[in-house]
Amino acid sequence: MQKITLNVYRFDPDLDQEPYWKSYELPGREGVTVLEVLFEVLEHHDGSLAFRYSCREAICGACAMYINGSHRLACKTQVSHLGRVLWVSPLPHMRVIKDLVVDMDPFFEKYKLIKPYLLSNSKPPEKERYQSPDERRYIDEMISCILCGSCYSSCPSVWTGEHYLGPAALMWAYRFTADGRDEGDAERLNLTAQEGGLWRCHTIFNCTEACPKNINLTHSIQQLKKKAAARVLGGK
Amino acid sequence: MYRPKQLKENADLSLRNIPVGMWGWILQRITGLLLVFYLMLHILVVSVAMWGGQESFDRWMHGLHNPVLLTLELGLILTVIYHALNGLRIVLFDLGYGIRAQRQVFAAVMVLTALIFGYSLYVIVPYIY
Repeated sequence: MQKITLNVYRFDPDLDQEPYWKSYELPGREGVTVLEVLFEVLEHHDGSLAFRYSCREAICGACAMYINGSHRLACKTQVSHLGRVLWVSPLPHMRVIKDLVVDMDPFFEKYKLIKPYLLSNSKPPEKERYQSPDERRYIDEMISCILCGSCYSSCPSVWTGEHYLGPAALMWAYRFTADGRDEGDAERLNLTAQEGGLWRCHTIFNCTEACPKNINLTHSIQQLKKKAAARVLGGK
Repeated sequence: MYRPKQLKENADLSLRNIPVGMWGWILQRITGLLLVFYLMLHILVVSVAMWGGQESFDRWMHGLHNPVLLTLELGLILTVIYHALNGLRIVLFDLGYGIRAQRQVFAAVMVLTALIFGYSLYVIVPYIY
């Protein structure tokens, strides 16, 4: 296989005034992923390159990066699908800590804000809290979210609104609202149906386009908007 | 908690990486601003024209009927058509329809805009020139 040209966004706050692009010529190999190419640099060219990774099978969400103009997971992106020239940069519109590592704190703080866990006042039943296969199928798409931050980084409402919850947090709020076992609907609507929440979503669909797990986040946000509107209008 | 000394933001500003949904939104913002600007201009011009009574109004209207302004008016028609149709697209999404087919819905908006604008040209162009 032919050689790969890898262009990486580099920025070390201790050394550099401005971020810059660095280019590497690397040997290609059949089936090589972007993450493996980054490892090639780390092991043979520059040990100071910083990037996050963990599971290497698209399930942990640590290696979300901006690769050749799209949000992708480095571990499941085949180089052969992108051509021989790679442009790898950290998630856009997020603060860069070093090289490809971004500050994910705002993302997770907002995720925690919507209480992403079972809220229930009723006494736990003797066996499990029952969920029918149909109910489970309905939330299937949403629970495949791996919290990689791609949607958050792609959303223009997030870029311009520091306090906007962002697509992932709102999608998770709907995931629990749609769950028959959860009783926190009213509480989560209070948290999300306000200025920094649902109403800042302008149905731009960038989150849906960016999601590496192909989740339609806009659909979830829209369903939650519907519930919020129904509550005000005295619906169900 | 570790806080980096210096933080840099990194944004992709190339137009070719903008997805369709975002184009819809950007165009909606631009046409919205243009319409607000036009509306203010329209109210101002009509109010000033009416100061001198009917005669003045007729004189103003006669003066405004020149090919340059009428050509600009074609731009106004295009702006209104797009803004209205894309607005309906957003309403459709808010009602819960077409979210899973957003690219096709946007394509439909563009095609309808082109068709209606084409018909407007067919009607108006012979009148202007």
